[in-house]
Amino acid sequence: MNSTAATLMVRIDLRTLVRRRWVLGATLAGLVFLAIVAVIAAGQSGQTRADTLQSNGASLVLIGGLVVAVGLGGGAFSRDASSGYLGLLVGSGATPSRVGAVRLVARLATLVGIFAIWGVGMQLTSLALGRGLDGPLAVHTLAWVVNCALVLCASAALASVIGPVAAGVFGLMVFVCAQAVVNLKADLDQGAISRGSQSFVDSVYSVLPRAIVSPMLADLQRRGHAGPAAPDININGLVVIVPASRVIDLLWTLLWILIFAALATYGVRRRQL
Amino acid sequence: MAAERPPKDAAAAPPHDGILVTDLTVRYQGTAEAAITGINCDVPPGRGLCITGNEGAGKTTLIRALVGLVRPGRGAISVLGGLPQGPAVRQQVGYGPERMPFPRGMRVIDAVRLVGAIRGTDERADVALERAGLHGDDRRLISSLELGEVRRVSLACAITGMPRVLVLDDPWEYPETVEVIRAALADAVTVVVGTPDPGGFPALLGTTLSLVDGAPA
Repeated sequence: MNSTAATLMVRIDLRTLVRRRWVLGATLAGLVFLAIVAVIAAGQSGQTRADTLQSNGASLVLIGGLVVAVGLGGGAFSRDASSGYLGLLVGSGATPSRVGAVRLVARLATLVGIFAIWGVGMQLTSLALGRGLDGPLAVHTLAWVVNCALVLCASAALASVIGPVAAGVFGLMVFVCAQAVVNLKADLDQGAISRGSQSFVDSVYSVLPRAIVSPMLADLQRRGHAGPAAPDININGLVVIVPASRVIDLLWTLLWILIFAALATYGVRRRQL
Repeated sequence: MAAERPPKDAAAAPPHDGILVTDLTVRYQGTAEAAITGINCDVPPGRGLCITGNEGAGKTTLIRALVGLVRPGRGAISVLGGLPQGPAVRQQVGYGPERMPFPRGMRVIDAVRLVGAIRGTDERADVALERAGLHGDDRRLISSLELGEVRRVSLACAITGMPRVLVLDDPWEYPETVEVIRAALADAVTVVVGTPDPGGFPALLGTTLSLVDGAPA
């Protein structure tokens, strides 16, 4: 299969995904949510107005983003493999690993597209509220594209060998672990947990993927306004603030995304199509 | 298991310009139970084979083995002188799967264009669509089609790009299907059809293989 065929396959897969009702529904639901946030924030002023938009925007990319990522990743292979569609592609000359890679690219592109729509919606809301463009919120949205890409690829990696629901649950668990190691590291660094745990925390922090935390989220958390996107961490009365991720954290998580993507394409080679 | 690899315990396939199957056994994935066993057939270029049998007889398993989607547990398959798993062989095999093998949100013309692009053909999708009895610029969604129309799309995918081997799983016996098969045989294409309802296919194809519980009747 040449690159022209691969490009065509991505385009057709992308168009097919975009026509799915739940994808359209999730995208529209996000925009409706932003409209409601705009109405609420319009009745506020100053920093409260900014915090309302930012914390609710963070909630949208957290909850909505995870739902979309799990749906796209968990459903990457199962239905089309059992219907015979993947078999048709492979039986026509595409290699299974190329089919797997192409489907992953199309799903990542769909995820990025949905985040782009929500991101533009958030910026338009900010403009409508008279705040101008919101740079920190844009950076946070980008950070969550990475987090959701991790969930999507982890779900897809397992979806290549098991059913979509279990694969989606696995993807969510990967994110929970990624967030947990970041929180644990912050707990350790800020003295909220014993130094005796250092070797364990350093080990898991060195090995597992790390959730990406934006500067905006760290700032909201510091001021106690992060909402569901970053609940307060209070250990024995000591409030822990999870710091913004560094470039090395981003690179490390991108590497994990590549690992899961490679596992997904390898899994497609091994599954019966 | 890996569909791209040659089977470890299968004998090397002898050269053959059509399809040659020797003592083929295919097992259910991950088990020792045979889905089909003791299959032998020789279909040279320009000849056809009709595989018949009830539901669960093994027709689809045999067809999927012929297009390299399942690996033989024993025996050998030669398609165009090579292993059916080879991408180069697959590109010359037109495969029309059974039932509803397309995503519901896909457009008819996109399905045929995609298969044509994978097969590396320059032929336009409208040629295959019209030969299969559909509109050449059919932009309907698969979800809006009747099952019979889906069978025509599957046929169009199989014939796009003038393959040297045509493998159709449960095509419905439309006049266009019969015409396509007749033309393919005249062009020295090897044709295999699997169907639970043979109708006029055995007479058209010349040879029939009846399966009962995974073995030749």
